Amino acid sequence: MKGWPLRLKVTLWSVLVGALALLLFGGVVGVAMRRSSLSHLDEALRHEAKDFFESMREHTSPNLWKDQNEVRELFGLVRSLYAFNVEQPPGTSVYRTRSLGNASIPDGPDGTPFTTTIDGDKVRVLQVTHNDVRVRVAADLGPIENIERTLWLTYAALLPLTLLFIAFGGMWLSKKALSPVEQIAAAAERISAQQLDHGLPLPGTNDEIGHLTDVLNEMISRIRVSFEQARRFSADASHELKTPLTIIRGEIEASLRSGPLPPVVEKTMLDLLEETGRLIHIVESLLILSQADAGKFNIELGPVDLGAFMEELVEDVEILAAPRGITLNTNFETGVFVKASAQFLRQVLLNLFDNAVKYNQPDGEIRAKLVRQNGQAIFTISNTGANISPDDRERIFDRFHRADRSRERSTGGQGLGLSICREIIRAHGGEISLEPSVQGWTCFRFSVPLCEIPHVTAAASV
Amino acid sequence: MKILVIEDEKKIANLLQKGLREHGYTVDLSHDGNDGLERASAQPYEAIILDIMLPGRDGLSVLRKLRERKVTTPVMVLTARGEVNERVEGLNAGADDYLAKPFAMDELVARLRALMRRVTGENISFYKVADLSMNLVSREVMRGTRKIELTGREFRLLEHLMRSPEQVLTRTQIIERVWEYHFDPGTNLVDVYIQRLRRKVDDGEEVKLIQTVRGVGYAIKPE
Repeated sequence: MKGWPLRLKVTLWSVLVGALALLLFGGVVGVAMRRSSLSHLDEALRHEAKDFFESMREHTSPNLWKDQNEVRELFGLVRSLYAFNVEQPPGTSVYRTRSLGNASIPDGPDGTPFTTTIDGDKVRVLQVTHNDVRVRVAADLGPIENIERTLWLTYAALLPLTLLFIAFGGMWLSKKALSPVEQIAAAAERISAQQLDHGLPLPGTNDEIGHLTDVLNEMISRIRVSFEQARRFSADASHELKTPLTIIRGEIEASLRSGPLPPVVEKTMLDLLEETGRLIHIVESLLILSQADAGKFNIELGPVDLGAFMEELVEDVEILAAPRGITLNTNFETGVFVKASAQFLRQVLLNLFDNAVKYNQPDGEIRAKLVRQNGQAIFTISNTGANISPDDRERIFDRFHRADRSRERSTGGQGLGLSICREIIRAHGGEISLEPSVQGWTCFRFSVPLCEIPHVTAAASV
Repeated sequence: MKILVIEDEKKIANLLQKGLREHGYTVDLSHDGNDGLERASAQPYEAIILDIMLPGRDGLSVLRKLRERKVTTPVMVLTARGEVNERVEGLNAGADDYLAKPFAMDELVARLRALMRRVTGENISFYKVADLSMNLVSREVMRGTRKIELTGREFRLLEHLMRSPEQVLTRTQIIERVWEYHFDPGTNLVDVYIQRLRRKVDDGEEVKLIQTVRGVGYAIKPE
């Protein structure tokens, strides 16, 4: 039941509850009807018995039961719907209605109507004894049972129809009741970290849905505030860091220019300059990331001939790969134009190529491919080497994540490269991903929407 | 050659003053937007270096006001943000160039020179170290009387080395300025290009000009 949609559950529950209610209703009605019919019948039997004894008083002849005319007159007074059995004294049958044939009405308690059978037919019987005369009046229960049977049949036929009706009603109701919830869910889905300030559209009603929307909006604004604070903190922090970094770098450069320094001091100063440079990279990276988080990572995009652009990079990559005996195989489609920022795209590509060299095995291979597919430029880069562990695969685009800490440190990475690549590619309207691993190969892929080939292709060169 | 620096951060202003003086410029300092605007309007400067975040009146407003007053002195805007829209805003307001903090001094000087050249129409630009000379306009490189053919990247690398002779450039600095890579793609790249450059510049010469500072970087100076 857990995974079932709420609508189905509501429908099933309403059918179940409906069925129970109908059964209970039918049972109560049936019992009440039977009781009322029997009490009417009993009343009629009493009436007949009373009538009989009143008539008896007028016919006191000792030969009463032998004179058929007398008898006919006596019973002519009462309706023929009933069967009579008269005993005088009790135990000696003196009269029996003809319709009874050879059967007699069975004995029973005096004055209390009871149900019994005669020749297999169900009957209701009242026995009354007055002086030495005992009379038993019987009425056929057949007509009552017929009515009951008809009622139950009708009921049985209507029950599934009613339940079907309830099911549709339940479905309709739950759909109507849940549609605002679904709207909220759809609206909430559209809200990403960049658009937290939008909140959910208010339904304009004061009901539970309105309340839910209010509560969710309050929650969203709380998230926005803390998110906003975190983002502003990193933006402010990196901004504030730039001034002292400018001073540090400037002072080191000034000292280095100030004249011949003792070699040890000069070496220290240059090391400091190097490290300051690294620090500046980190700060700039953090600033880019915080801008991306805030949805304010705007970059100037212009048409770039991706294939030609990459050929340029390949020369550098070959130089980087050569000392480790790594071969580079490229297959770039020509005339692939994308709307991009050359500077940022270069950063992404170099980062990917750089990783492909760094994490390669000696005498390994790098394969880079650029193709056009469904309006997208698709770039894949694979390198030989140990596979990335499943744990690292998930976190590889996370900030400050490093797959191999010891090695990364020696190569000077900060674990921000791939997360920046992702933000840059997203700012280009594309996606970057780590492809499913093939034994011995690691493959990254990114796609960027294609753009029209510009008329002046010369302007697109980088 | 007089330059006005409008920058409220005193230490940075002093660094700029020191650095520019070393290159033979006279530098006036102003630490406030309004004061800077008045000075810039009152007397002619060769160039103005203008910080964006200023007390009194922010840099962009100073710039707009200056252009309104028909002051055409070339302006280099400094900012700590480095955001694209801010750069566009700065250039729209009439800035001639834009440099993001933290900047390197010699980068600033080189850009400033280019700026003034552009404005004064002066188009001769020439670097010389010992008998190695480089013409930035004709893109001719000569070692004595021998002409050296360089690829685009080799030319840029040599240009950056010659811009500040006798000064060590670290590999990171070279990567940043010559390749404009804002991260470290490893050191091989620089080393390989330096080797190529050496082969063209120093091979067969008695005096070697391109020097390796071990573990750190490279400099250009006579041995």
